[in-house]
Amino acid sequence: MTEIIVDCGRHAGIKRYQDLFQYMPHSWQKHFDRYEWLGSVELASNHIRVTDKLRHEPVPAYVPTPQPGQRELIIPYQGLTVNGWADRVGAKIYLDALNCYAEENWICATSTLALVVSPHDPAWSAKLIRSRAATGTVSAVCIPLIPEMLGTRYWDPIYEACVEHNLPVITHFSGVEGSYVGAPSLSGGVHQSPLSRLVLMPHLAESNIASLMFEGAFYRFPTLQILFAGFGFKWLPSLMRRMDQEWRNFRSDVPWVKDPPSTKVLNNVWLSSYPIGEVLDPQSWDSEFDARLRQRIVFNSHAPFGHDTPALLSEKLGPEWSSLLMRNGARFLDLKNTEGADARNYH
Amino acid sequence: MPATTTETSPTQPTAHNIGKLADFPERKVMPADAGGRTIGVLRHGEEIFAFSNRCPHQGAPMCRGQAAGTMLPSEPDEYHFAMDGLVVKCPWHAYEFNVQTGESVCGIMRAKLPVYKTEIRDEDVFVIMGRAQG
Repeated sequence: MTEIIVDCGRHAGIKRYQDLFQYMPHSWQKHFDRYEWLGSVELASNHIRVTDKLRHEPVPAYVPTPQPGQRELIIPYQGLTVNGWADRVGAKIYLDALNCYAEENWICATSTLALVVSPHDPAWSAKLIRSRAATGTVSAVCIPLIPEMLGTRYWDPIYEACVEHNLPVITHFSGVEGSYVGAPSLSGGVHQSPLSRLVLMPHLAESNIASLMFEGAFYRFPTLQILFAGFGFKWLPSLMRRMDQEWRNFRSDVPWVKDPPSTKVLNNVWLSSYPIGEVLDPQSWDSEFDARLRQRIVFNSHAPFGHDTPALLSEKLGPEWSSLLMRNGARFLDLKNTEGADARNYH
Repeated sequence: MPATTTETSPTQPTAHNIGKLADFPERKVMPADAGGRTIGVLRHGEEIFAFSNRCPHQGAPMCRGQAAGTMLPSEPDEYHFAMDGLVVKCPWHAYEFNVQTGESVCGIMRAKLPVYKTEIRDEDVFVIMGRAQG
């Protein structure tokens, strides 16, 4: 077992959506306080758990319990589902309330917040980031995924605000991807089974990493840091090799990409360990991870949803990997306190 | 491929006459026989550039490469086309080489495409086949 536990993706949720109303303007409370919304938002968070295996049990309320040697990055997971919402104005009111609730109820000495922003209104999101960054409770900015790729200029207002405050971006699927209109689809088409969608979520990370690389996001924002949480990581070396090869062949199509894309992965991108089931049998793959690449992987439990534990991590990956991932996680959570690109990049 | 003649000297690199300047169209890589060795030739105005027929990446025949220009390193979403007619693209993987120096464009690989010195005497084109440059 490792000395410290750093969980860069612990989910926390409200038990009753009515609990958010106190953080909303009165008229918006009235707008949301009806079955049409309360019923459907509950269902929208329950979209993927449609089999016995993934059945929806009431999620235990998150209660912060400070423990020595333990740190958690809290993702208000119910905010992620706004990527499937039709009402984008209402989604901002909802997110604002959820973030406020999270700051008041889930943050403690050992837990900090991944502030969930609106993917539909980057300018509004940038204002939100700037207003909350100074509170000291926020360690990252969580972007729900939509079909706008993360490498495009659409996201620049959010990235500007993040870079201004040394806040890394974290992204994680809400579960409605490949299912609800408004959220990104998965490659190839529409899958019938929620299990297909679940196992193919890494598509979203691969697509967005390629977009970030080839659309020059890390040249516009050289210090921007992005964690793809919950997508696994074993597939990363093959993506890096493929991107580098295509860059060598077709560099003139993307002349703003001045370095092999893999170098930007090593300086700007983070991946997480969940689902640990993806990375069994390390001796069959870990030679693909050199020292620099290993520095970019962090642990996330995905708790309370079929979560990975530190003990499981150590059992599956061994104590050396496990300890490294925890140390990497501490570096990730400390990015907000880090000045300048040199300190945040591996050398 | 133009017929060639050779001027040799015991102490000098060998100069191979590979044809008349007019034999080489612009913007088209032409093969030429230089003392029994096939090389690639690219004309750019009144200049002639000669290079190895073997790509340093995986040995593709550069005589079948494409004469091109390239996009210089730029800010995101900007294109700055340059070096028109001075770049040869490998036919297999599209790697780009500057025919003036043999260097890969923007340093995408360390290895160089070997290039040879050329001379134009009157209208005759000579390739100097000492050690290849690059």
